[in-house]
Amino acid sequence: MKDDLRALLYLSPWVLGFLVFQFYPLIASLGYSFTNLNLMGTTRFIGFKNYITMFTRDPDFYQSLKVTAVYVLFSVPFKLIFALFVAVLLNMKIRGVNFFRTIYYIPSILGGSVAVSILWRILFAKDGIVNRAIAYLHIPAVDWLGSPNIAIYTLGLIIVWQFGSPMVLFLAGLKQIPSSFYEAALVDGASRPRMFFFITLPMLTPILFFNLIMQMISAFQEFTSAFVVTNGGPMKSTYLYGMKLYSEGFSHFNMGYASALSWVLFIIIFILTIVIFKTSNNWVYYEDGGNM
Amino acid sequence: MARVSRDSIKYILLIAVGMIMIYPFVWMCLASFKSNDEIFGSLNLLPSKISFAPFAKGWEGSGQYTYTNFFSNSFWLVIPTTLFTVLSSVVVSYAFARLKFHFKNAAFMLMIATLMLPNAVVIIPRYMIFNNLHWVDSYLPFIVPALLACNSFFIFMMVQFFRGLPKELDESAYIDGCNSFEILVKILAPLCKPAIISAFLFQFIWTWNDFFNSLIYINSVSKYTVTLGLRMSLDNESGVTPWNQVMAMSFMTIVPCVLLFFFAQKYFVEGIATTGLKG
Amino acid sequence: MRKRKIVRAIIYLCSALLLAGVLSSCSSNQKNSSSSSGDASSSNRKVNLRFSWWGGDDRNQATLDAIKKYTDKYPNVSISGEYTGDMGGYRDKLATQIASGSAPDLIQVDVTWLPGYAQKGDIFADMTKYKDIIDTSSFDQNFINQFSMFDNKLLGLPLGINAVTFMYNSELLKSAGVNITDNWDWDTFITEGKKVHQANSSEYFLNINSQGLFENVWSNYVRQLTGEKLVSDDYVIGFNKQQASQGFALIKRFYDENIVQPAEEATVYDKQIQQNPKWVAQQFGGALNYGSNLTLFKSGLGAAPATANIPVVQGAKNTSIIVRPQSFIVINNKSPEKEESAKFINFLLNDKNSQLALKDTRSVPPTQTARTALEEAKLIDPLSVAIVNQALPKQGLADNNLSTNQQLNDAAVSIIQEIQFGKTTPDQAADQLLSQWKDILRELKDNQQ
Repeated sequence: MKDDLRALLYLSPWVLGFLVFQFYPLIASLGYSFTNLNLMGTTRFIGFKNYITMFTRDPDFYQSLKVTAVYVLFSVPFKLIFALFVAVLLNMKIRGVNFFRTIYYIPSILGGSVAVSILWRILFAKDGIVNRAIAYLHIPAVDWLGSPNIAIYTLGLIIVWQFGSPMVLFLAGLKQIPSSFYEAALVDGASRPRMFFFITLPMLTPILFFNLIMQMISAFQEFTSAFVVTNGGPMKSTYLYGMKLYSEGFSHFNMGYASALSWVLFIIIFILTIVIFKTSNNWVYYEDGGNM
Repeated sequence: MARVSRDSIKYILLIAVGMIMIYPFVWMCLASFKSNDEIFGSLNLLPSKISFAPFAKGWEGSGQYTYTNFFSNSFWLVIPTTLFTVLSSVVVSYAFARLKFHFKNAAFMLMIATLMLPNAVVIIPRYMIFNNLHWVDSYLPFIVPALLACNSFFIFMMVQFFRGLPKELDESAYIDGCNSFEILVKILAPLCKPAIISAFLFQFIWTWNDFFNSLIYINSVSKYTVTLGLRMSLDNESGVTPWNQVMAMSFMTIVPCVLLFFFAQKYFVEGIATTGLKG
Repeated sequence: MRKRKIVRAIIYLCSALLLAGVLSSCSSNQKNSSSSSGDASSSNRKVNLRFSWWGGDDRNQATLDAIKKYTDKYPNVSISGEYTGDMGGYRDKLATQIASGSAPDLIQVDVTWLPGYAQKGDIFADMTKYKDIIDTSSFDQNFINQFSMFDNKLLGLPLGINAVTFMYNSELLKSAGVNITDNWDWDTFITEGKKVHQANSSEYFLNINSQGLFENVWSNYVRQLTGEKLVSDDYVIGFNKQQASQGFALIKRFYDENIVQPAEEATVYDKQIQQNPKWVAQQFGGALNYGSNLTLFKSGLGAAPATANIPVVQGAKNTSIIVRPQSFIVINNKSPEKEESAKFINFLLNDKNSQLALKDTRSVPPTQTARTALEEAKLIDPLSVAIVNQALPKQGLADNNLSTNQQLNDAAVSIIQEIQFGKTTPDQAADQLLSQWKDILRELKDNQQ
């Protein structure tokens, strides 16, 4: 039984908004990607030239892809694991938990604020606070932002630190799990780790799935942290795809080329998302019985 | 005895990690009292002297407009945007989560796909639309898309939460004579309160902190929001940026978000557990 | 039952649409830009102008003051200032506005952006059409011809004058035994400069980032060797591999002989070198930078800041000492009020009240009249005037638009970073630079046709 008419009524605001504010820009950018659109010179249709240039003559393209891949693989799993860990911790019934929840969310409010970007340099400089702290543990000083091999991981750490939104969603998900499940498990004499792996985690999979998809998409597009903290350096070791896109589009005014770059990114993310969606039937548990 | 020691381990853990979380916030607050040289040259957390002059001076903004203007502008922009986003997302996501219709999977994928195209390239076509509608230099480029559920993040998020609720709930309500709208409003929405509050929080904080879109769409200084006001005294070219004022105002601008979070997260406590479902 | 649901949903939809419609209609009449009818001389017609610039508090306040002086004089004119301190954000917004045809009437553009915009030719209005309105006689004509004329069109007027200079901490250099003369070459720069680190191992002679190494060291050195522009107007590179390699070798020497702080430490502050704690603690000898940045850098220069011209290669064909505009003011060609905009520009740059209001918030003023007025009123730092006066007599060949292209710049800067980190040799770097620049230039030439 299909509810086409009723569904359309509920979806109507979205359909309208989608067509005007999302679908049109999407298609326009696809169109631009086949032109040499820039603010100078005349705009011409140039076929696949942008795409060919990207794959054959642009070393920065491969560099930024590589950096972004490392960044996504490093930051997304760590952020999710950390967010889940903290959410479980903050779901406990202890005094002052409200206060702690707020404190743990503050990094995400501060985000990429210009004021905080100065702090990163103070913290992670060669003679900065972090190196002084680890000197107590007799660990030699690290060039956190100065070494081309390390800077991308330092940047990843800064993003992991902003784990607030997945944490809040995990927390909301935890609150949705009926307490009767745990009570029943207690009666059966289940241990805490067992309850976590057999009740909590399965019940959280829809949220984990959502967080995974969203964090992956936003990590692929990450721009602010690299722009504000490292400016892509040293030696392009933190030159994320988002920065490459931005400098083509707004510094060099090559909007056509930037559009082609975004469509390549779009296709990469799209394929990965489809793959995760396809596998989700095997590991995501829905209370509504699955199947959309 | 074991109970006490386990609790104290929890607290030690929470406080230790919490220190790392709050350090930048504390640093920013204390930096409001430092001179530029002290901010960049010294590793000391504590300022050498305390003076509230940077707060008073920073609040004056450009002289032409003060932070009183910027704060009220931010509220006028952020509150409608947030409310409309939550309302429209709940309604739209209900259809995706609970109704059966043709092309549902395709529509759902299209909706998710809009999140995947980087903002940098849709800016220009989108700006052209708003410009043709004569909406530039108003808050409509924020409010109308919110009303039309244009942020797929929230739709997807609500869908995931709705799908975590058993379908028998709807069915029994339907038998009791509820129509689909009543099921959404009376049964499902209350059960998703933590998710709805999260959506509200996120959208509020993100819109409040958003710099790039506000910069692009708002021209008149009289309509500037706090994030735009903050950048006004960041002189990266010829003069000296009064960093202590920037820090003071950065601190002030995040206070509403912190307070909102503090008061809203309490409602998480009343989750599904207290509604007696399946119990 | 079912009917009710549908009716409710329809009401919901309609009210959403209605609300959107109402909102859009109230906003569309609030922003009716000024009518274009009527001539400029009629003084009762209401005129609304939009003027956008970027800058810090001082500049914003000064510009608002100058605007107020104008609107007090012409009450029928109202000018709304659109300003932000964030130059990068300003540039992006301007690009978006220009692409969609909604840029303000009057716009401040950076000296490096104008050539890019000028290539299209009709984005900004040709001010020679308003010769009768804008008096340019107080400007140095050569200066304007060199920087503001594109295809015989006057596309912008300079808002300030700028020169690259070596600003230094004279106390620190004296105690390290460094001898600065105004006629020095790069060898002396290194042999004198290394004394700083020898005298105190935590101090360095020069605070510079990769962009500065390209713009103020490598480019100048190469231009001094060749006497040519980096790229000619017909897209030909003006230096050969050997000259490029010599330039890179000079930078390598900076690192080998400890003239500069090691790249691994300094790169953290690459974007804002004045925020380097060593600079703040006055542990640097000096910086090679634009005179307009003097106030920004002053805290690291000690009690006795001083300036000198940049080093020049012995027997140079061109001193490459560049005096150039700090930024321009331009008129949007799509503005319905071009004449009124021109009238305002004339006031802004030539009226003494406006000059005194603007002070040196956009570097040293571009006109002789303003410089004199400010010096008389003691409203300008004598050191910033000294920088311009020092540089003007030795002025070298100005660079053309193509040589300052952002893409060429970015490619060169990333190659210089590899030199800084010792990942490539000067010879390899020169090869890499030539091949990348050729690619970019071919692309730029294609787009022009």
